[in-house]
Amino acid sequence: MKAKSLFMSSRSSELGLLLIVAVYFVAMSIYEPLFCQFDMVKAMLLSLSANAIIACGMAILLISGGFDLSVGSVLGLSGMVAALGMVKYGLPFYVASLFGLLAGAAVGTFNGFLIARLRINPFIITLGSMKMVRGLVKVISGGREVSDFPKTFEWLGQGKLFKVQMPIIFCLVIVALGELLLRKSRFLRQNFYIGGNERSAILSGIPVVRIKMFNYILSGLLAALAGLLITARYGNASVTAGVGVELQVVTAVIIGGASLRGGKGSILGAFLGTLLMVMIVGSINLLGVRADWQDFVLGAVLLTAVIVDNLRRRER
Amino acid sequence: MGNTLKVVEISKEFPGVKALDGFSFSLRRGEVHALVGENGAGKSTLIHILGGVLRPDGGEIVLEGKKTHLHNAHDAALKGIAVVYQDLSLVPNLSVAENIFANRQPTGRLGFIDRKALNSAAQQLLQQFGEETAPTLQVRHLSLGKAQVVEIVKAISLSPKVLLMDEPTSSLSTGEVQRLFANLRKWKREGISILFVSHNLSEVFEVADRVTVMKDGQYVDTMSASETTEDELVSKMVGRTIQNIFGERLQPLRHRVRLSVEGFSRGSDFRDVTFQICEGEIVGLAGLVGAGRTELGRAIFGVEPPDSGELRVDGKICRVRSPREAIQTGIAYLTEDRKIHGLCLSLAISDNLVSPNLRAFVRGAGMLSDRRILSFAELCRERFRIITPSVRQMVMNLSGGNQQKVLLSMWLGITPKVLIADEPTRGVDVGTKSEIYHHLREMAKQGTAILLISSDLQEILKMSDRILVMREGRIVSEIPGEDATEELVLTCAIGARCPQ
Repeated sequence: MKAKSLFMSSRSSELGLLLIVAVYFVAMSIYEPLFCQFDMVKAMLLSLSANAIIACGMAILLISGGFDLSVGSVLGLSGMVAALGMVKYGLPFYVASLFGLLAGAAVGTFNGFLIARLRINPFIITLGSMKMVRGLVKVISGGREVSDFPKTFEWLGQGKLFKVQMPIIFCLVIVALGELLLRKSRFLRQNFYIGGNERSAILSGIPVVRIKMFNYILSGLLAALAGLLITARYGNASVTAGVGVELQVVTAVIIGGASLRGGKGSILGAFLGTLLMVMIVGSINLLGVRADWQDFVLGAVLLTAVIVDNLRRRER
Repeated sequence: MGNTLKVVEISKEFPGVKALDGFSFSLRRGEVHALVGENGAGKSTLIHILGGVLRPDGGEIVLEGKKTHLHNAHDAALKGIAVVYQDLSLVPNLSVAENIFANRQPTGRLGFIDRKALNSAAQQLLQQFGEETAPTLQVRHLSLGKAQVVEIVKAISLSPKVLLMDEPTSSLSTGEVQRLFANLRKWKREGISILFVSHNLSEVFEVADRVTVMKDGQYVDTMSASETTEDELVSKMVGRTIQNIFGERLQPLRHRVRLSVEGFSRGSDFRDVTFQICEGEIVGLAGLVGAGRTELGRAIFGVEPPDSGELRVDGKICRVRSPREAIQTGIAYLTEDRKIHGLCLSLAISDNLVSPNLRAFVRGAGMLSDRRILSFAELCRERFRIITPSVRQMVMNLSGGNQQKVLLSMWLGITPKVLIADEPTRGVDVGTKSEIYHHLREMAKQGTAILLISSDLQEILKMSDRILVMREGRIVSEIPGEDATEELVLTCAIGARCPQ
């Protein structure tokens, strides 16, 4: 019995968030029945897929005490690399996509080396790589959009499996797998040790540098995957794809229970955070509120989540 | 009974300081060996080297007859050396079981952690030690003492040949210390070699077989515990004989009441606390861990103000709602936790020394005067014998005893009317202790009213003019200095029959 109540308390922030999401959904649906229609739900899931995939990597990073501002740029880079591969060099879609993923992994390796090995502040490093990568996107694209892809590629973004769009499938699979592994696998759980007390992790023999490297490479790969899906879905790779995504993802992950100091968080929470944000944006549109209010509301939600969590902690 | 571990001519140098200078010693199988020495003698450095965290500059480590290189902490653990460090190294948000089995959690299929096995294995280990904490409890909810126990259990669960402990009893209650010693004796019989560093000489004599003394990074002597005395150890540690480290108790100038606390209450922390301290008086505040002494001290200093009660300094009612107001009223507070609450470790000694009273070091339009700061810092360095190559040195590079001296001299800068000293000599060597006691007496002579909070009964008994005993948030007894004995104070603290 005791174990059950403790189990509850460490998951309580997630359950709370789940409750909020559920209540919001129900309330909105009652107020505006269009909200819960299958098409609306699918549209929301679609727009959150890319962010949710990236959020998985970001959650793991935050838990380990890290941070990655370059994900938005990597999203743009991988899409552009794959696009150019297909359109300019005539590569088959899977080869081009592989190059896109490799580009993401390369940026991740770059970040990981500077942060994990040289121990430089992750915020500053990924801020720098964010800019550098965005610059690369501009350079290799010559500032122009690329489109007109083979149908096989576009299937990745627009095709359907069991009546559900591919990006959503990718997203759900990755989130489910991520949540399972983060909660149960020894390998990913080590991130909690690293974020909770890095010195302790080192003294316990956990290979901290190696794990951090892995985290950044994973983040790069997931951002690259998201980039491919977005490019496939919209049918073009633009220079500005992914701008602002990093802040959206960090917001979602923090709403989901992670802390910038590390040691806590979850993938399920990150997913719910992304879902909440997308629902809010969706309802703003549906309610006819000026779209300009979007940023304000999302910022307010983030602050509320952080303040509530902070107050809860104080009562201990 | 061969040597499990031998260090030969180990040296380690840091910028400006030679921590270990050709140090050699050996540890026998199945013995409990204490390592003593002043702060800065090199004990912690040695432990870090044997734990694989620091690489020696010279010398050899010989483990069971074979020369070894310890590449990192993990390597040392694999080779059979387990360490319990002084600063706790547990992950607060994870459970006891997860901490004990960090990096070696039992796994089932697919590399998934087997939680049932994890928790039951942890439970078993805890029970073997005699500890009842639930393995699923998160470490951040544990008291310091219990967390220390978890660290010890974690180390022993590695089945080491050598167990190194740096000040293992500093956070433990008396009962927990006894239980630890019982476990040490058990492990000794199993053939494990135990080396522990301690400043508490009475504990050393209680449990150690042999004692090694270090001084200035060098080996001084090794003696069998039964063949030496505390005084002999102290004189070897310090290099000179220290008579009565506590100094002579002076008759306090008993006229004016400096500090008057009336009816202080705050929730369950403390209730109806009323007492007074006169000019030049040292009043000891004794009690068990958790009795509310630190909470009371912090309340008087304004960190967490009481819900009700009145405070008077020199007869005037004072509302102290923050440390800033406390300082303005002339109250100073020496925290029990110098690293976390007392000092800014990454700042220079001089910066720390002036922090309670920056206003005094300002010249002109709000600009700090470097010259004034430095001359004050030099004055403190001299008066308090703070051992450092320069007052611009970062405080984190100082030894514990020197850090404590910085903390103390910091408050002297505001010539406080009242000083609340919370565990002023925790983790400090004998030589420095005697210096701190001397300074406390000097302050009392100048008229400061001192509230001495301490878990060291000897310290309380020898330094206090009067002793207040706290239990469960209330003052249960007031004992004049001449009548106080260890038994009396302890009985009142525990709650047995207590006069008054």
